[in-house]
Amino acid sequence: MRYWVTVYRANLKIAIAQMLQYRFGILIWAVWGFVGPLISLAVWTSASVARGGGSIGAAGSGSYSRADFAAYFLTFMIVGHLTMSWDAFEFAFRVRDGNLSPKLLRPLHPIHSDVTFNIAFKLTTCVMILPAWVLLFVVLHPTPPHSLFSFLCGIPAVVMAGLIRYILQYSLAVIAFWTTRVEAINQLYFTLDAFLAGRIAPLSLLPGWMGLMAMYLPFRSMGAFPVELLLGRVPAEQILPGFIMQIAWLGAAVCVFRIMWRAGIKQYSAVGA
Amino acid sequence: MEPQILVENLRKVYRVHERESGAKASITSLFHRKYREVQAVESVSFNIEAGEVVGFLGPNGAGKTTSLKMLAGLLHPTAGVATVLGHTPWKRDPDFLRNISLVMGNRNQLMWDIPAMDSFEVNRAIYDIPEAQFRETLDELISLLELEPLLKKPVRGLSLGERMKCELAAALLHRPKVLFLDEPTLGVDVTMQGRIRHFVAEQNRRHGATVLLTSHYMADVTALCKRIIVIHHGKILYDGQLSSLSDRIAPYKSVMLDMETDEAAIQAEAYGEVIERKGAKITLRIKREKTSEVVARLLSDLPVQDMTVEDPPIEDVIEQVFQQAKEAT
Amino acid sequence: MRYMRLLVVFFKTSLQTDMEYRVDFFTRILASLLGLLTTLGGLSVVFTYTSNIHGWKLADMVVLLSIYYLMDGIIEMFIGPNMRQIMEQVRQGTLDFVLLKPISAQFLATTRQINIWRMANVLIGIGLSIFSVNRLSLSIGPVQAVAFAVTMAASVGIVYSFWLFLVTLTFWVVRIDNLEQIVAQAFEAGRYPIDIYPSWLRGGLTYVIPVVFMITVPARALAGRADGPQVLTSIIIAACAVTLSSWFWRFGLKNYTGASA
Repeated sequence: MRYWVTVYRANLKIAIAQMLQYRFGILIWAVWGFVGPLISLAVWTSASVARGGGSIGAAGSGSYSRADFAAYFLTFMIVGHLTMSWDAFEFAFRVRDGNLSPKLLRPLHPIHSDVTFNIAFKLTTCVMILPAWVLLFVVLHPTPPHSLFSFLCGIPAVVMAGLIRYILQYSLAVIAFWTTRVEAINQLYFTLDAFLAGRIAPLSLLPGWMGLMAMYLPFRSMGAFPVELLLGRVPAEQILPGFIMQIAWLGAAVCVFRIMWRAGIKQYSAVGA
Repeated sequence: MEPQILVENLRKVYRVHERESGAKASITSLFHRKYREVQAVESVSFNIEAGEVVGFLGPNGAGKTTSLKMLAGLLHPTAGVATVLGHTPWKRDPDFLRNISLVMGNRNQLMWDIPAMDSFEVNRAIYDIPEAQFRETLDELISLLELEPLLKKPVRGLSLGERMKCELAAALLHRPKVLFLDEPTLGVDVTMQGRIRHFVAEQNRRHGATVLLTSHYMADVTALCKRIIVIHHGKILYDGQLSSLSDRIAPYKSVMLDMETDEAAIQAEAYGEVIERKGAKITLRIKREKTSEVVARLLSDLPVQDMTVEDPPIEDVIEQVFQQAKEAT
Repeated sequence: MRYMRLLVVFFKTSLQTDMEYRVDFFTRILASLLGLLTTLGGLSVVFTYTSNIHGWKLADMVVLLSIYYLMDGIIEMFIGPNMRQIMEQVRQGTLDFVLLKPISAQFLATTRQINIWRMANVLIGIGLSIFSVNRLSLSIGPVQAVAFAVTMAASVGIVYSFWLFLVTLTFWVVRIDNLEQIVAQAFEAGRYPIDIYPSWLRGGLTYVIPVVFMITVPARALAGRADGPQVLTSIIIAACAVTLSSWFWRFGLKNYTGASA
């Protein structure tokens, strides 16, 4: 146990030092995550305005007024930022440039240094983007969250979402062992994620068949669920099942990852690292 | 006849932004920038006739590349006049550019992802080379540089030496009258260095191209150039024939003696300036005029097993030139 | 003219680029189509709740989207590769080779590379625009076609100038990767009509990073909604942009070669 603490602490220090080197560049990259939700917000706000300012969606926890949309997407900005990862791209580059092999020679699985890099990024950028986020909060007048209890439940849900998301996309990254032309596959993943995790629109506003798909796929656990929890939009009786779903998906993700990694390594060394 | 290249009091001064490290310094530098003036080239003058092969010699940062770039029109001088082929280089007249070429070691003009042949075709279009002339020049270059197997491969797949050959070919397709070579053998293996030098000499011989070569490899210069210009700290220290340089700066010879005994070697120390002594082997530096006399005395006085008399290595000569310059300042 | 012939040579050479890029072509089309699906899907979800957004109907939005893809494709094919190469050359000191050639440095540096294999978005853009024009049952008369062609040309001119300006900055600032990102994000915003953005942002998208002129104006022209003054403004802005950015390039070049002002 102590081994892991030491390793992670050391890696974290290096990663943060690296971050501070990039400075401005990191900031720009962090803000990138905001652009998507902001555009979606603009679109939905216009739709709301076009309907004369009323709410959209079935009454109850599934309906959204302009202020509700603002709250939803503002929350998504933060949650999205805290759960983001880019290894799916990075990996393909590494395989192509030959930078992966040295990492594989170390007695530590490369995922750990990537995890610390990821965490370091989020730690440093959170501080930087907070002012921007607060500014947006003030400008947009979002609806505040409904319930404190739900909000507090949301926090571990975000952590879980981050874990699931990270491991799944790393499994996706592993595909680079077979082909570096991962653009289409990654794009497919992002499309599914965009719809089914609720980035394009709150899940309750999606057509029925999409909402149904969302129930059976991990994307909701990775995005919409923690967001809705934070906002207090999850009916009390669905909170626990939601968490169980997250745990289940985390387990599934880990299994998938292990299988893919093992197969990938075999492939990589067969072809010649 | 008018010299092809005329340089008078050419000067290049750079303003370099200075900054110390650390966070505080980065912030202050936003408001108040400190500048330092670097004299890259201090006031050089020389003339070069058509068909000469001239070597610019000097350590890194001496101002060789800067001078070359000014003559190629890539840099504007701070002061001074230069005329190449009747043009002022930095005006970048197309007529001027059509007749010169620059090859830089370690830097490629060839396009990376396509075969060299395709880059050649692009150059042909850019320089507007007539078909027949292009074919003729290309065939000659292919045979001289052994390019045949290299032409169809993408440039990024070639080794450094192969790439250099293709670069040279690309630079000569338009039959430039003046060829600037900036460290052309940098990073290339010894055999290839020799081939490149031979090729450049051939170009000068066959087509009368004027060649200006910078290098910090002595071998490049001794192989190709009769005339050298030594530059250090942006100033010309010597401009003339390579052979006379030795005589002027370092008028001595190195005598290497292999004595029969250690004591004999110790005794030999009295005959000249000792460069090195190891056991029974000793190297002496003896004034040129005195060499035959001293050698005769050594041979008659002491038991000499073996002896070699050499001109001082050209590197030492150049070193002396720099030393003298340092002492003068 | 000679420069026309050179363009043909550059084009032909660019076709030679390696197999690797060619195979990427199909992956790219697939990825782009999926991206398109995302945007269209998103739009259709929104339009189940309303029939128009700020006066734009779904079909209008699709027209806009098609221009977005068309412009994006043109940038990826013609402008992006050259501008990136210039930045790389400044960084590595190989821009000198461009300056040594007996032709205009600006022409050579900005047109030499043409990445044919990035055609994916151009194809999508064309396909989508044909589709949406049909849907809107628009009859494209000669006037409209000309207006469209002109505004597209103006757009390309504006994009070229904008990028040239950014790239010229590398003479002083060497790395502008961050600026590039900001521009890319702003361009993303151009997928949707700028009317949906708050007024304070609209100004930025019109005058600072001129997304409006790049995308919205040609889209309006295609949909037959552009009027004379708008088309004229585009042309004037494009002409000014090209002139100014070329001047700036020459200025940057003088600085690079150490010519005193």
